[in-house]
Amino acid sequence: MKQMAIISGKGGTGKTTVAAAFVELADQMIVADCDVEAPNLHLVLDHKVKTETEYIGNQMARINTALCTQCSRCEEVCRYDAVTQKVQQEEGRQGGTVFPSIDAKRCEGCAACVYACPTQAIGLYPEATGKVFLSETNVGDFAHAELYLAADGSGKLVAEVRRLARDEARRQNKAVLIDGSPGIGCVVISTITGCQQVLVVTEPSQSGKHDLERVLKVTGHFRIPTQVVINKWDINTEISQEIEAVCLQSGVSIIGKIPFDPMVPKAIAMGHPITRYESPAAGALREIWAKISSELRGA
Amino acid sequence: MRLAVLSGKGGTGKTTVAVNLALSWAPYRKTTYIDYDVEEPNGFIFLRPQIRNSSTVFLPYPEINGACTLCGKCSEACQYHALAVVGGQVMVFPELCHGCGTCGIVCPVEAVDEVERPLGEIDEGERDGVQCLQGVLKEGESLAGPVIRGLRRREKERSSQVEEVIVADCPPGSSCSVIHSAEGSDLAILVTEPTLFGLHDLRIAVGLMREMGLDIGVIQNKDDGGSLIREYCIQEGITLLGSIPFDLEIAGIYSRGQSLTQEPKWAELFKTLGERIMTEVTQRKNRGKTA
Repeated sequence: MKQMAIISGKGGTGKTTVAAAFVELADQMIVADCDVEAPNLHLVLDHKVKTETEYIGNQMARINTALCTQCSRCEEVCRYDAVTQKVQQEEGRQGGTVFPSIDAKRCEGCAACVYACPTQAIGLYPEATGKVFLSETNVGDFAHAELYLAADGSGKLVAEVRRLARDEARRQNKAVLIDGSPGIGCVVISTITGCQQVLVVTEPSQSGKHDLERVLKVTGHFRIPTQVVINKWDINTEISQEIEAVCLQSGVSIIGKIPFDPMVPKAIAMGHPITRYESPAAGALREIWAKISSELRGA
Repeated sequence: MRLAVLSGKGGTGKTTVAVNLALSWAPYRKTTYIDYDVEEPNGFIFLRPQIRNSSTVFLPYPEINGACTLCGKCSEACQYHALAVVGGQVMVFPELCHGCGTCGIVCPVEAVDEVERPLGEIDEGERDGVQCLQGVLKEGESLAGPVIRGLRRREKERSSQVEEVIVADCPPGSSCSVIHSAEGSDLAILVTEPTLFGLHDLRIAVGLMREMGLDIGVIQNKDDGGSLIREYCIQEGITLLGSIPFDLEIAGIYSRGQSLTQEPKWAELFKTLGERIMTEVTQRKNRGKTA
């Protein structure tokens, strides 16, 4: 079973536009939206949710104040400044006692405080971090997720979406197409590890080029075969040439270039993949897909 | 005054807004721009500051010394599977280690020493009166958190008594990285674009900021004259601070890595936008005082 991820480094270069076009053009694919922090693919894919599962992706420390002796050992060992002070009122008494308290937004569930506490007053408790969906579309199954507000651990949620997609792909003997997120950190690494192919969508701007260079170092670091698409390449042909030079230097091939096309935002506004229309960008995407799909079937 | 610039969706114009606001405030007040998008920092491309100081952000990881009895407590306690007792020794996997120190706490014989590995960098400089800081995560590393925390610490260390404007250019998305970059701000400026994707992710960002209890205002970038974002703001009772038009000249200047304020027309737009934001924050503060 093959897996291909679409990433970009810089945000807003057109990952989802490209992914939605591929989904429409492919006939044997399971799709996964791994941009769990800002998922958009579901907006341009007609889909019906088949299963919805809550995902327990994290754990958090909690203090049992009945056992706490206020020794502040937890505060000393926490490297995330997650232990704060909280005044707890006691019934029938003036004032209150100051107890340590865990700040949910900072706690990383590392257990340092749990082991450091001399009175076993702290425990780790599982936390739901989001929901994972398996949906059906008229072009195949679609795995996606919703990260709960302020929940930690998007990297793990990505891994769960990929697991769901992979299981379906094995069952149905299909390949997996992943729509990724911007950046180069844990979420992106969780999106690309184990993929046979990464496609980087970039744009001809100094920012796009800079971020492409960084993302190519990451795919190089993990030794994942990588190809590049320049979106809106004709907006600045000079920088497009610079990008081609960067790719040449990194030993990465450019699989295609998509022209600037006012039809793209219009298609998105209607909630449709661009390939449903006859337009320059749609034509370029069909050519790119023809190359990629033969490679995905091959090797 | 601390202003967080964020968006949810990537590529909506966070850096454009943050950089040009900072440049337009700098002649009138002490201004600091800080790029918290440590995975893909782009602000310095536009600001091109003279770098004065660079420092490395390190993350500690364990090294096991000769006192080890192979009891396996460290490996049991590690929540990130960064230690394993295999074949008569403790193997350490630094790339999985979060540097939390739990292994050292549980070791009964003090066999855990801490060493450090570089995770990223913090750069400081200046350009046209704007103090500039950025965090840069090393390629191949997964933990942006320690770099963001290091940058936040640096921000606190260098803050003086002088009233200054801090513009925090935050990462896209809605993760802990966004929370740690934005918390404690006087206003969260949400930059969005009038597309279904932009609006969808704006809703997520608004939800997150409300959860954090931050004041919010919206800037619409690539404004096409449509009503999508305006209607949403009215519906939600969110202040629309201003709009930047969809304009091929702007796209051109941006693509070359230049600041928009060098063009009088756009300098004027950001000056007005900047004044509006200042008034907004001051008014909200006063309202807060009287309330």
